[in-house]
Amino acid sequence: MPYLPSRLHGEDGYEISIPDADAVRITKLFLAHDDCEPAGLGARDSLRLEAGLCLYGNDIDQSTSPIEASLAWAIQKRRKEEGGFPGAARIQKELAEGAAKKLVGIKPSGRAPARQHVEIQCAEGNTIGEITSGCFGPTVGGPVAMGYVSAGHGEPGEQVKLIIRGKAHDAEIVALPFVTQNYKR
Amino acid sequence: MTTYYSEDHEWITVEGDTATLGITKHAADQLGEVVFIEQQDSGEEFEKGGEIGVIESVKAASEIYAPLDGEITEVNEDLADNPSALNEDPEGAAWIYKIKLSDSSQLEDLMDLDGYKALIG
Repeated sequence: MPYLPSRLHGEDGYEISIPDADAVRITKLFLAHDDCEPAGLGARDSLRLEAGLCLYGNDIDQSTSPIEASLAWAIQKRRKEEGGFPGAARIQKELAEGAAKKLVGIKPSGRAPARQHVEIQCAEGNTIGEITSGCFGPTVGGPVAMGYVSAGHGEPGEQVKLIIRGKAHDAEIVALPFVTQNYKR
Repeated sequence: MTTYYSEDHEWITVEGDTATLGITKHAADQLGEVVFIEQQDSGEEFEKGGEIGVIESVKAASEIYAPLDGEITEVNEDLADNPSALNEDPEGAAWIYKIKLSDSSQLEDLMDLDGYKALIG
């Protein structure tokens, strides 16, 4: 059975490929083990968000750049300098001049989870961005979120407001991750 | 004292023209771990079908819809600090509102326990 070590969600794990016909039988065999519990998409989503990892379709898509998403580390140094790849012009420009917005961690102060598309306002009440992922973080013990804020905002410690169902809730920009990764390298 | 149930999985226990409202054990189980509740204030009036709050679980946000017309007379303030009570005792200590009914004939549109049990199968 082929398997690959995976840190897709910020913890140690394995991805297993199972032939269609055997998927149910093998899954049941796993679940019969005392140490094995099922975990669905919701659990995986809170895990990766606490680890500060982007989800394609939520936090990044065809319109966002890796510089906006704070993923510059994923681009080789030589590539950053020489370019010569799709999108190089935009990426090199943003590296030199800064991006128009950036992805940051956001910690709501209260208990209300701030989910995707919640508006982010600065302390003065102007709109500065939008939440792209948000949920209750079980390890943190409270709501966690990430979203884009416009240039000039987004330093850890900045106080912001989140507009949830028409009401402003206090929140703070924080450094990612929410939970330090503890997988084996 | 009679308890009625709505199709939106709320219970209402009526004494005279006042009532206590909460969500059913079945609803709480379906929501999963509740992490937040947004309640309206005492004195708010509402109409049947109107939104009178939101419950958020680890999975999703779910609106609470008014099963009839009325006015909120008391809010269970304990839930804000201890939303998980909605999982532990949703049909007891974790009541959500005390309400004053505008039209008690609307109770006839709700279900009794047997009817509700049939609904949730």
